[in-house]
Amino acid sequence: MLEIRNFSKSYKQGKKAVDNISLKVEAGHIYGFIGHNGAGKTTTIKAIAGILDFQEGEVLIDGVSIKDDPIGCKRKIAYIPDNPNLYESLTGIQYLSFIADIFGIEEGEREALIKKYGDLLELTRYLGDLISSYSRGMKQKLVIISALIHKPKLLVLDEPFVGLDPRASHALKQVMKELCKEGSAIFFSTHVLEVAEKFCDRIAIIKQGRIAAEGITSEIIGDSSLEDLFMELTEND
Amino acid sequence: MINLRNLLKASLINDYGLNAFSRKLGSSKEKRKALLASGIVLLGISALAYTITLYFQIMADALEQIGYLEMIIIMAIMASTVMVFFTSIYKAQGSLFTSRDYDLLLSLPIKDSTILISKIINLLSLNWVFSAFILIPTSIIYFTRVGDLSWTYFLVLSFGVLLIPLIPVILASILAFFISYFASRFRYKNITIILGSILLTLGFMVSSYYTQDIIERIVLNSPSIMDMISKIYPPAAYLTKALVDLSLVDLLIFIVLSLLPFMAFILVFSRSFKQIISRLGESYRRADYEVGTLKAETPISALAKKEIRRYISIPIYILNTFIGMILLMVAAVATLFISGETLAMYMDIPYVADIFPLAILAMMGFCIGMSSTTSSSISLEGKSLWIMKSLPLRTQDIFLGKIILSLLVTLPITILANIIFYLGLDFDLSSLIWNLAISSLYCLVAAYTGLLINLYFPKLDWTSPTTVVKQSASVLVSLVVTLVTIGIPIAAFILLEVTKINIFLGLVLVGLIINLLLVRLILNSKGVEKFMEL
Repeated sequence: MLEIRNFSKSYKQGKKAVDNISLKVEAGHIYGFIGHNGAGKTTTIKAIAGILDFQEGEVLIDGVSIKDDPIGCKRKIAYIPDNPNLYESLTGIQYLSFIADIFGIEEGEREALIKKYGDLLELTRYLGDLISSYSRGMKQKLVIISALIHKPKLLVLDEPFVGLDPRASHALKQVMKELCKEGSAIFFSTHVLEVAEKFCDRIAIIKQGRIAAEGITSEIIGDSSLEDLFMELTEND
Repeated sequence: MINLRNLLKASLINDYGLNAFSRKLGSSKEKRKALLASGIVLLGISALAYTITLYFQIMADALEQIGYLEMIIIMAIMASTVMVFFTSIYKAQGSLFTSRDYDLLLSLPIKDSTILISKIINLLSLNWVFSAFILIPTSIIYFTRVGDLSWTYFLVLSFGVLLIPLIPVILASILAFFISYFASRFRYKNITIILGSILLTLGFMVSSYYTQDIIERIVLNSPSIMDMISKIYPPAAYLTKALVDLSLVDLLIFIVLSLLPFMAFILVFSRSFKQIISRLGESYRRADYEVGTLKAETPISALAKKEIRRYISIPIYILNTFIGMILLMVAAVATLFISGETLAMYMDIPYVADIFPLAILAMMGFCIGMSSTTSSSISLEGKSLWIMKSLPLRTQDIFLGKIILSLLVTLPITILANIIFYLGLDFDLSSLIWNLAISSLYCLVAAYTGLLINLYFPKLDWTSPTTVVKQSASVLVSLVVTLVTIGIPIAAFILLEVTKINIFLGLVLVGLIINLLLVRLILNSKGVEKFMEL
């Protein structure tokens, strides 16, 4: 569902934020992307979501390059950023309707899905209020609902559990598993190593813009823990 | 003092994007862009300063002949004061009361009064530039004509430029506070702020019309001009006396008169500053929503609706872009009650009645140019730009949503105003058709041009929308472009002494069509690239 081939991104003065990374996420899999702050996780995620322009390498969604058909690719993706800056002047339901209009979701279907995920994340009763009155966690929940209502084939999340209360965090994990059962792929970055260890089929550890380790979670960790492996790989940072 | 310096440094760097000029931080592309924007703005300001200087030179000639040369100083001081007051009413709401960085600033170990002073100095910063551009050229004209003045003159002038904006900024801040405070008691506070500010502006304009009688009476009953000014606005009189007589006592009185209200404002407001902004920042949460029937829309209409909702939610955005259209409408309606002859008499310009349709067209062009919402619409996406970029939308459609908003603001009022002017000033039908065609087309040109300029000069890292709507390079460059676009045909008309008006208007129309096609072409190619780079 997602394939990254030799992706690199350089910023000012030629400094490489991401250096030649390649990885593959199959449909029905959950892929964890782990690394220090500034390791290149968000840069990679933004390139996948079609937000960041890049010159080197390729990002393929369902076999199609995001550079060749950005709109077609974005139709299959839902992106949830780490810090959800939203349109504060809209109410929650206006924002969800806006997203539903862009994805062309039919009226009956959007009502059912908004109710389903709104109730699951306990946000429905706040949907008539302005987003500017929401807490960070509520904004995070709203973005999650907006991502789920168009049934993405690839869900890309940047630190999705930050800001969520334990119940919402649990609900999100259930939804992620449900999506995978239905054949979607999930690619997410996290600092919470326990979640990655228990939850992901495959993981990649990124260090200073390069992949330091990648593979099936159980094989990569072996007899140790993900925390030990991560500390060992990132020791000299 | 150190905290104040640090606060000012941080806000200056952030608000004016000074890091783009830094050798270490800015890329050469960013530096070029920042220099280009500064160059265009400087060019615009220089042209404005040149026009002002020319205007005051002509005035000085006339005043010198009748022995009232000091009147140009008084007029410059009064012009600065009035301009600072009116531009600050709108700016104060955003910069003083609803800035996004208050959560951060109030959590730091800094005195509330220091934060308030830094915000006011921020508000004063552009006003100092504008005052300087009015006061310095006029004072130099006076200086060169009087001839025997010493360096003290420039010392007094420096104090003048520095202190003139203080009182109008404080008065505007107090008014803005009352509007914001009153609005905070309503659920729809933004609409209350917008209506309050528009009514206030119109109120001032109407009352200034009626106070002309009072001012005339003061003029007639005053033994001297100085006496007259000291009755209307004492600080202006003291500064004028300080400049003309090089009187340090008068300068001292001017300094005290300017600083006292400023200090009193800081003292009083800093005590309740935190409560005021907390109160103004409060938001209602009803928490009683139930999912009902949801209506589906097309993506373009969803985009346009989103733009409209944001437009209504930012009072400074509406005030800055809609006031021109309101004034246009007020002027149009006024012509229903004032005849063309009376208007021509008031304007006191030779043969003005013959070129009324053209004069109205130029005025409409100016109002439309000022009212284009697109010159800040990309910048206002701010940190939520990721939404647009991650959605499956053609960049051209995103642009279209923004252009639709601009047209909604300008086009209906432009058409209506044209019809009212036609009825009120008794234009012939061909004038109506020309004016309708050119002004409607200009609505499109202004919308497309504003958007393109904003893509070249975006400002996404803002803390208050006021800095985007009022102070950003994009808005200032758009202003210069508007003045140039309208100025070229006006200059051509005057310099070429055009008599064949229909041919002239036909050329203007063709020029605008070419302009529109060109800007649209650049927007859909380079503009799309620029958007992707953001």
